Amino acid sequence: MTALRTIRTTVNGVAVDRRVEPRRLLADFLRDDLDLRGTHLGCEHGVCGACTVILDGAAVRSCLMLAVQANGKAITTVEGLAPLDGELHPLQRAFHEAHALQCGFCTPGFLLSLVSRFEQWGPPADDEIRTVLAGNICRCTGYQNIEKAVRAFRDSDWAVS
Amino acid sequence: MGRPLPRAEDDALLRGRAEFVDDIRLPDTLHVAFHRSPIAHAALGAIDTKDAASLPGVHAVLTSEDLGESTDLWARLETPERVTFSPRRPLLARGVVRFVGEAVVAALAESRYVAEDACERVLVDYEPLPVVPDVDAALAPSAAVLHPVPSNVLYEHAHERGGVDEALAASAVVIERTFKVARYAAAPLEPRGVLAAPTRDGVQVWTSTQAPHQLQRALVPILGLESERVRVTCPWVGGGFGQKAHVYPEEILVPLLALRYGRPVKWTEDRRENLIASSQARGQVVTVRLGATADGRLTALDADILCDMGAYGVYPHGHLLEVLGTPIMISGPYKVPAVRFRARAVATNKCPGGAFRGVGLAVAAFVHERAIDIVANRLGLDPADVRLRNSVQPGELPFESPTGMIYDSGDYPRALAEALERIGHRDAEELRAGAERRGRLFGVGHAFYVEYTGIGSAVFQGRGMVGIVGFDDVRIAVNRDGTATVWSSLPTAGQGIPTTLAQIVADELHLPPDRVTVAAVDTSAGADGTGTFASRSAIIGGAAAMEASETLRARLLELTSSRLEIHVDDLEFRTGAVGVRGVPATQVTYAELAEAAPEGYLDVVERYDPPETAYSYGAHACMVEVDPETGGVEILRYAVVEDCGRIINPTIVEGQTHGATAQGIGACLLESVVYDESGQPLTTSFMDYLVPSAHDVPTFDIGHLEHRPRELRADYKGVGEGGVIGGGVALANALSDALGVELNEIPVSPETIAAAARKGGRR
Amino acid sequence: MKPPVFEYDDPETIEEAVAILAEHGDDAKVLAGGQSLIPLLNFRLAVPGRLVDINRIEELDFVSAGDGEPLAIGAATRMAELERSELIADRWPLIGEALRHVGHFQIRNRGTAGGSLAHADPAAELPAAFLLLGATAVARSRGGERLVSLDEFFLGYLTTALRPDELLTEIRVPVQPAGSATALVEFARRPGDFALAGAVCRVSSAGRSMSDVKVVVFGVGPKPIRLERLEEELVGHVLDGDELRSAAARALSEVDAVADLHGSADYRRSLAAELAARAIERAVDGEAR
Repeated sequence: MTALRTIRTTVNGVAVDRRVEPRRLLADFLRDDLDLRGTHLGCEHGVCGACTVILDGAAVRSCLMLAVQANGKAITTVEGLAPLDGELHPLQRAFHEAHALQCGFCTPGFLLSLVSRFEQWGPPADDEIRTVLAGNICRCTGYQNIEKAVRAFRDSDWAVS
Repeated sequence: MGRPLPRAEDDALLRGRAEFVDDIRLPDTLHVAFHRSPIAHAALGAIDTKDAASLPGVHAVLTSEDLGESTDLWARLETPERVTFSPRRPLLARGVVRFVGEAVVAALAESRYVAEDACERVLVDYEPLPVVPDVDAALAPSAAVLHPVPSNVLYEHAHERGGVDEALAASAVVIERTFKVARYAAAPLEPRGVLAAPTRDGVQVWTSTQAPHQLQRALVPILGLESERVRVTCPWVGGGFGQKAHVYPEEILVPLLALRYGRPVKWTEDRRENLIASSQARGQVVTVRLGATADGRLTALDADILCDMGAYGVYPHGHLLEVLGTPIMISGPYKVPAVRFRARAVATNKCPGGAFRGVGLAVAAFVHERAIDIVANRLGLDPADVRLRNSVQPGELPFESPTGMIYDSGDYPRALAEALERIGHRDAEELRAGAERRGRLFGVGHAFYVEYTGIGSAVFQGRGMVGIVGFDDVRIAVNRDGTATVWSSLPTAGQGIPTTLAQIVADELHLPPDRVTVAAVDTSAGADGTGTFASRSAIIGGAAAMEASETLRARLLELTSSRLEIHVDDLEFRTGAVGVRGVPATQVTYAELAEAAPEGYLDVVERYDPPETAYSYGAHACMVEVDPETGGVEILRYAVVEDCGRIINPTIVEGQTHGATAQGIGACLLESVVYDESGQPLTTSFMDYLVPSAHDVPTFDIGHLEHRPRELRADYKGVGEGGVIGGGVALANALSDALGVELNEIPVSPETIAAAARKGGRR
Repeated sequence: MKPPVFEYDDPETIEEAVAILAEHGDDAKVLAGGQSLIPLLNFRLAVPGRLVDINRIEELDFVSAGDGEPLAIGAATRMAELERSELIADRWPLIGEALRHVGHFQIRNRGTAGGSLAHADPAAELPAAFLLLGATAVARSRGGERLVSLDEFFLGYLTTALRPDELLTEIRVPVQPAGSATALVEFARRPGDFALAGAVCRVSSAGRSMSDVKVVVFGVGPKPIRLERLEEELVGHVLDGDELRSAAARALSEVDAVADLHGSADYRRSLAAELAARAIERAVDGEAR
């Protein structure tokens, strides 16, 4: 086994200080070392997007990062979108109202991809929404209601916030 | 009921707090990884695990030598026809491997990382045997035979009604075609997984499954424990689509190891394993002759159906799913006076074939919908007219199909007519002209199908799948706080069962839906059953819920009657209470009744086993544009009209239709499991097995009809599979129309489309 | 699917990085964005003894070009950064166009231009685009700096001219001919996937009369391929759709194309020919047929 490395990172606003094996994937670090299991593993090769987290404001696939690479960075996982037992984030509410989730396994990845996309690139136009969604796979919904949720969020809550 | 209630399940899922099996953490858990065969067919020689076992962090490395034959999975199949051989499936390969991905060695370690390191150090001596890569090879006289029986045909049955040969001979036109439907992977976003922990006197298992009671029943004899000591709980399940409706070797091995080593043991499937070793589906070659009169009336249908079952069956369905499901629906919603089929399940060196949304139905629909389009074109008739002309009419229902299926109720022609209306089929000519101006090809296609739903014991036993009980229980308790808790044997994998059941029970018990909680499925909760697949949950779970509610209502009335000393006939139900008719002020709440009731009195279990199958049906219509140089396809419009009886929750029904139709589109254009000549799977990741993305799926326009079932307890039918049954072939029909070339195999690649565009001369 | 064990270094300077590569280069892989390398590690298709993570090296992260000067991009600059660069959008729009086809935005948030070039996937957009623009790769080793024109950089499937002890540090893109236009057209099974085939081109034209043509196809062969024969046939001619397609087909007939699960060699050739034609039409007319 290779020597452990220390990483210091902020996850959902909380400072974290751990020692990890260099080969440990960021997704496993979040799930196993920090007990944040809302980040899901659907493929472990960067296609499905279920493992998406926000790293320094940008949506990234946590299965394609080593935990050691998060040193000095700030991460938001799905658990960080809404306060514990507090009100849902407007995008989460939009998903709920539009029936944009069925089994829910892909949902955290979509939520974080979208939140960061809106913040970094602004609201997508109608004909851009499917492109914005294309980096996350959903096997259940056929995407129609996810698109509906994005439009609703864009036109009401995002416009306001 | 009937309301588009948002789902109760959503909150936990949206917050990332829903626990899927890999999310469940127990201290001291050992993790499993498998060394899986890299070769499709080989005798197993020496297996050297010393190096692997000596790696720090490795607890044990096991082969089949460490397990007895009594741990094998074996599906008992008792079909009436021809010899069925049901292969034994050892948990770890014993003596021979028969497909790439078959587990040979299991490594148990402190982490999955180390377990995988151990598997890399395992040395296995594989002595290659001749490979049977597909059904053609399997049927060749010189083929290697994979099981201890004379041939690779492990099941065959045939049926004829009406004189097919005479009818064909007398027909104005007979078309003969071979249709091919590839193998597909259900590919739920959450791969499989199982966790087991020894308990004081038994074992507790969590598994990502659609049928926990089925696993529990399989575990009991193998583990040698009494039934009460084996408990299977369903965590949240991230999609199943039928793939998780079977009992897999890992689900037996992991509990066994937990008991053997006295520690929790977990195995989480990775995507590569899921694509090569979890069951694959469909994979059929169907040769058909279809006859018709000059004015387009179908006269006879003759089908020879070959099903690629892979190296083993699945448990407990064996290898009977497609080989029974397709032929019985081969004539679809049409009146065909003479029908004959011969269907064979053929063993090959591939992953076992199992269930995937629309078992049997998707292939049957591909066959009858392509065939009827071909006949219509041959006769120069409008394919929609030919369908309507041959469709079973509403006045003819109930109707016994030529294969003996009793279609119960509905208005099939209206579904098709409405789908065509919704698609705006009158715009076709204008859209075609516009496309051609831009150098594109334009096509319209539609598809029409009937599907069996809500199958119970009569069907499963009738199919010889004696390991499947067919009934399902629902248990409901009225609690001391006036709420109701519901337990069923039907896990949710995203299809909305908790919300749907809650709506039904809320309605039946006069409670607001948020006062009804549907508990996680747990085999120790007292509600036994079959599991969720084949669109049976609403029909069977719903009916059982209604039965249980009826019993509870009677008891609530009885309790109120004695308490108030008023006759039950003078009582009525109000929200969460029972009151006296005409006396608004006088009532007793459920909370009060539950408080005073004898222990367990307001806690009932009822069972339902449907007396007959309910047939949902639908029609798809779509318009496409093809880029003839690249073979690229754009879906311009897509409409679906479906009938699943009375709708419980329209939002959920539409969500199911969107998702299923997306899978149908995937089946036509993107998805397919590919094996090469040596039995090597080529689609081992999501880079090669292409699941539709948001760009590949259009916006669907959905309409509903609501014809009630006949003999069922409740007035809804099953829903959820129609989209994939109609989707693939509606698109194939539209593409064939656009290209002027028949597309009789799916999926179709851009290359095939581009080549067809050249051939069809429409470029 | 977990990565195998490897030694790990995360140097902070180029000097440190090349010192490590000088010692361990044969058994080390450079980790930049990780979007191509980490899947290989997870599948255990790549089993390097050592990973040299260059994400902390600030001197590899920059985009700069003076007025009228060539463009210099640090090899570890994120693709998303390049996408946001107004400088690039303004003066080298082909780079932005290529980027929009690279995977999805999540991939581009981590992926780097240098990583894409060094990985050299034959179906990748950036290698073809930079090749088309006449770029030069700057490689550093402990022995010094080496400039490699991209014409000589891509050797074959996943193989470049980089030596085991070298680190790609910079990509230099020359100023493009005034009045020239560029275009990229590709076809993939799903948008965002690696292309089945694609074409990039740069054309200088007056009306529809072409005075300077450069065309590169990708996804067809084991590396991006310049269609010199097509360029020769087109220069000095007026654009004609049918003639263009015949010429493109002729040029592609000489290419040794790849066959795999997703397409045969013949299909890739005919696809690439059509896409090359559409790219040229778009560069000249502003829209493809």
